[in-house]
Amino acid sequence: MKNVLRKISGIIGLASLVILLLPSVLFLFGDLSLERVKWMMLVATFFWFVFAPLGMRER
Amino acid sequence: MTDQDHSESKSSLSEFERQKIPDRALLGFRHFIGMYAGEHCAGTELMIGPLFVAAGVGAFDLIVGLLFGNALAVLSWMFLTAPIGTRLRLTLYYQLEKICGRNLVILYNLANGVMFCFLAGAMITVSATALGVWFDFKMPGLNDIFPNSIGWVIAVIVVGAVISVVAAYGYKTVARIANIAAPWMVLIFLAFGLIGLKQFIDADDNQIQNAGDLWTLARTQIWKGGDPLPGQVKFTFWHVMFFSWFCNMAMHIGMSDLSVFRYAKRSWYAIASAAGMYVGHFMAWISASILYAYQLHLNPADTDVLPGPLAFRAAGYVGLLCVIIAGWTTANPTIYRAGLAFQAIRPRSSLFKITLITGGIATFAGLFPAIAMKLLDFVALYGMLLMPMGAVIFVDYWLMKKFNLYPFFAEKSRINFNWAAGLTWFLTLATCLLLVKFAGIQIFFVSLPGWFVAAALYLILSWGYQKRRAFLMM
Repeated sequence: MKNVLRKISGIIGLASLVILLLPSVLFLFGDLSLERVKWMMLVATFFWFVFAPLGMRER
Repeated sequence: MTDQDHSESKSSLSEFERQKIPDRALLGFRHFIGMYAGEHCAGTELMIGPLFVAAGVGAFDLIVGLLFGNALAVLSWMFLTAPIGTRLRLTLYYQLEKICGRNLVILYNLANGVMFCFLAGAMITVSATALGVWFDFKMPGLNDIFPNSIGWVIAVIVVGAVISVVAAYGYKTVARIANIAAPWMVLIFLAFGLIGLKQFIDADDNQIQNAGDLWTLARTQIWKGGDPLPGQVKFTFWHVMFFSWFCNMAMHIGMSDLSVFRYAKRSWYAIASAAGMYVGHFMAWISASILYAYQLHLNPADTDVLPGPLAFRAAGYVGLLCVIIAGWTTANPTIYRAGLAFQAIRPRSSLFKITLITGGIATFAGLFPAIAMKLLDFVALYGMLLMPMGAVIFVDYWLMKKFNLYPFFAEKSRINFNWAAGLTWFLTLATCLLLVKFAGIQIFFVSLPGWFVAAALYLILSWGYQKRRAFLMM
């Protein structure tokens, strides 16, 4: 069970990295406002620092 | 950069200090990729990128200069450091002790520790600029030498105190946070660049249809070249190339990373340093420089290089968090390593107390913005200071036997101070300083002739010294 949770945490961690960068790419192409970019990066940062340590512990 | 402070990956490599690395402890290629990519994306990158713009760098000079300079840095690791590291598999300090004797190594540690303190001070300065955004106190300008507000002094002391206490108590915890933060920080730096680029595009309603348009924007609005800002040295292609080559000089040409590559199975693993160079010293510098160029574009009179406000404008609170974490996670191991260097001088002293005192010195240094604002010069000076010992190690390993001289002479003759190595160090530094002062060679370039001076001096002085010692020992 612990291993499954850790794997899920790892996946969420990786997804949060994608969400961290994606808004700035969308902003570059004019598809997102800067305010929204900042919020999305903040949320992604929260998820990364919560889930990445759990996911990394597996390794 | 920075390099020069190595995170947990390196600290965990602190065993086998006085013996060769056994085969079972050797590490694979991936280990070195992760280590270099993580440690060269640090708080100081947020200063260096903007300082390039302040130095009036042009787009071609910056991009091509960084491409070549970083390649030369990687080649230096591959062909100077790693071949010796993987053949002898000793720490830098143990190898130096065999060549130079214990007392000269103590002097080397002192120089290294002092430079680490100043470097950590610059990182504390970087982190404190993030607090300035939150608490809105007056922050130092580009040419300020002394602290210019009570708020600044308090912010630096608070940041420095926290970093120092954590370095003394819980170094491993912060090293773990640094490892977790590393991939996040790399992407934040990339986001800084993308956001800054878009802000430039929107600022004058530029139309970017192809790569040509992008290049035009880069050379006419972002890195325009021309005169540097008042008080700054003009940076050309050669400055950028030599700076990016030598900014980790202490690590490659100076041979500090012998301690790292003694764990590598093959010497070509040093190519992993490219991950650090092209992520931290290419992408991160370029991104940070775009943010500062945009600030100048909005208000040419606003020349302050303050990572906190720059990052906040681009990415909001995440940007501020990045500045704090980037400064914190890199200052922490730097203070810890400075403490270790000082403790080697007084082995019976408590590492806890020494680290606290070291943190206090770094915090005091951080109060003075001149160190961070003159970071380009400081980094060049740091490399130059330790470079001669790298030349000594190189010559000792590859050339001494060819000239019928003894390598590891201090160990062989049981001396505590090898004067040939000591004089090589002092005379090379004196030569470099004279070249800077009287020959008009800037500090960014002087380490190249300096290395050859050091190599030649060590051979000549060793010839005389070893003959004399041999005569005395008879």
